[in-house]
Amino acid sequence: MGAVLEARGLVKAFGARRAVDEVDIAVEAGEVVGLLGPNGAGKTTTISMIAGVLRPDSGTVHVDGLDIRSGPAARARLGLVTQWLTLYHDISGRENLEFWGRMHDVPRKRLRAAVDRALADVGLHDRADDRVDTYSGGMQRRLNIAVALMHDPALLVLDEPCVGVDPQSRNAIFELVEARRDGGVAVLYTTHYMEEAERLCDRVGIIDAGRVIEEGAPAELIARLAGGTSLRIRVTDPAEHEKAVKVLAGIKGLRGVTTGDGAVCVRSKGSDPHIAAVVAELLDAGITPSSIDLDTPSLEDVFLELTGKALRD
Amino acid sequence: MLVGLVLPVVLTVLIAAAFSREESFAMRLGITATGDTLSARVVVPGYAEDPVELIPFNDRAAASAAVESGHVDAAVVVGGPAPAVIVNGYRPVPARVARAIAYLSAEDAARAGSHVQLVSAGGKIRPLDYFAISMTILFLTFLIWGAVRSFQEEKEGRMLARLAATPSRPHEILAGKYGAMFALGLVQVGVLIAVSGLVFGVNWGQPLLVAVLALATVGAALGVASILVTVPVRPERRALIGMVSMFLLAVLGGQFFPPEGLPDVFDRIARFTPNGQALFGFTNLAALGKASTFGTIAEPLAVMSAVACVGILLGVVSARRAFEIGDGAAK
Ligand SMILES: Nc1ncnc2c1ncn2[C@@H]1O[C@H](COP(=O)(O)OP(=O)(O)OP(=O)(O)O)[C@@H](O)[C@H]1O
Ligand SMILES: [Mg+2]
Repeated sequence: MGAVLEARGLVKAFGARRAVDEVDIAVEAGEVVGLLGPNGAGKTTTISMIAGVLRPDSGTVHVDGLDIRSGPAARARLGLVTQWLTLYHDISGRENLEFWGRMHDVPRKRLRAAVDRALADVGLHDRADDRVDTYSGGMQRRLNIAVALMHDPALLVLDEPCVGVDPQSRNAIFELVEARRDGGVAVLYTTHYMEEAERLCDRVGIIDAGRVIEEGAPAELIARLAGGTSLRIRVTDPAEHEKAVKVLAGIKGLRGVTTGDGAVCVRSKGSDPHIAAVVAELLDAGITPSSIDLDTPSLEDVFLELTGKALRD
Repeated sequence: MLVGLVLPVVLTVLIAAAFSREESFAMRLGITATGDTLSARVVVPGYAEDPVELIPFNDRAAASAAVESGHVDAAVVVGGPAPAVIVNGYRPVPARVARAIAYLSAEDAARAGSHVQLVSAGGKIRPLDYFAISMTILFLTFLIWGAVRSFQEEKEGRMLARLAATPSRPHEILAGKYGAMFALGLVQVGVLIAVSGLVFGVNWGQPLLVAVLALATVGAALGVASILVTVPVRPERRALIGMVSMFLLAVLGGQFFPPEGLPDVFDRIARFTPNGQALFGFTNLAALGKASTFGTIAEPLAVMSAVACVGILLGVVSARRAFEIGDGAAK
């Protein structure tokens, strides 16, 4: 089965600067693909071209094999959650969804059910009839997500949907995305939150300055690029540091043993930190570790490794 | 709803009440008679104490020229096949007096056995009618301004860009938006016409012509608002600037005081404003009643349609740009 979303060679320049530079993205049914990048990386610009609301300078976007700019049929397959709120504040949440449902050509007969389902999906059914300007920021965000769910799109595109949402609601949103994914929806998800990408995405593209510089499954990227897990080991007697370093250097699968801060640090090559081996060797040598801290690398480290800069300024 | 309907009705009542005393104006009337001279028994009901000066002219042309030049306020042609009233522009009180004179002289003539017919009802319009019309136009402009302003916010808030990602086509979306604003305006005008008719007995004139003029008036209000909203100011200032401009237009259009007794220059300025044209159109329809024809509203229709076309075109073009996220609306 071909990809639901197939974007090839997308380029968009604003003036002399290329905001998006030769970006390819494919998302299959039942897959969540993340686009991870800092502010100004070109995520929204990419998504706008994918949604057909921004004309690319070059490149193509196909949804279910249809060119997104070919007309209503292609756009009907796509649900877009914009980074900005697209809500009318002086009417109720339900009325907003009814409006967006009509704009998405949801048949009159199914409209009520679609609204109820979307409201339940984002956990707003009990506030559905209140005016949107009485909602909290996080509730408005959730309603903004519901806008894209009204017509059961085959492709769900979310542009930083969790900005300003509390952890509890964020979890609800993750679950919602996962449920849709399990139902066979293709999901494209942009964020600059590592945790979101790691938790949610089957594959991640890392975008910086308009280019996708790496892509792969989060665990694979971390293993390949972030240099494994690191352990910080404290021993009872600081005098034994030298000895500990020598012992640890002999263990296969570890690299870069260093001391400092009253601790010995080792990094593993893969994702296995070799804790058992480390403890066993130390005890064998008569050294008693008093504490071991495990430092798991994240996409944050991947990003740091790739660009030499932190993801959030 | 409150701003759209209740407030306008209440304010119209208040303002109309303030002006509802029948006012009288000192005036000069030109009289021209072809057969017997005008009977001295002419009495003008309601204006008995007012100095109505009767100046005889030799013929219709001379009387007409005197009206044109402002030497007299109105003229009555009696004694011919039919009496006629000559007024220049919207002059309700002189027109009414002249009409009364024409009518009385017609009765005289009828009694004398000659066949006389009244061709025109002349201007019969009360200050109350005038203000009912004026306030209807005023509230329409404010209602439409509000709608256009929130449409502008949708463009800037990139609501249109999001709409462009739905299966709806841009021209459908725009037609829906402008259609809704048009309908909103028409409903308000319709309600105000109905209420003022029922409560104050305002007679707006021939329904078909009133409807045509109402359409053009709503279009012109849309046009003016669409032009005003493009003035590049911060959104917070926009509301204020719009209100001030609209009040200014209302003043220039003569919506707060009838042109009676004002120098003609105001009359001429008013003709350059779409709301002033709407006022001319509606008051003429009300004043002329059954005698009005399409020609009565030709000038207001032409001016207002032009304003409507220019403004709406401008709005549509800027909306078309707002459908593209990156190209129109900056962050
Ligand atoms: N309409 C525009 N005109 C000019 N430049 C633009 C426009 N839209 C975006 N840009 C520029 O393109 C680049 C990418 O912007 P974009 O909004 O796609 O970034 P982003 O990854 O979504 O960032 P964020 O995380 O802040 O949302 C930025 O440098 C931005 O300034
Ligand atoms: Mg963005």
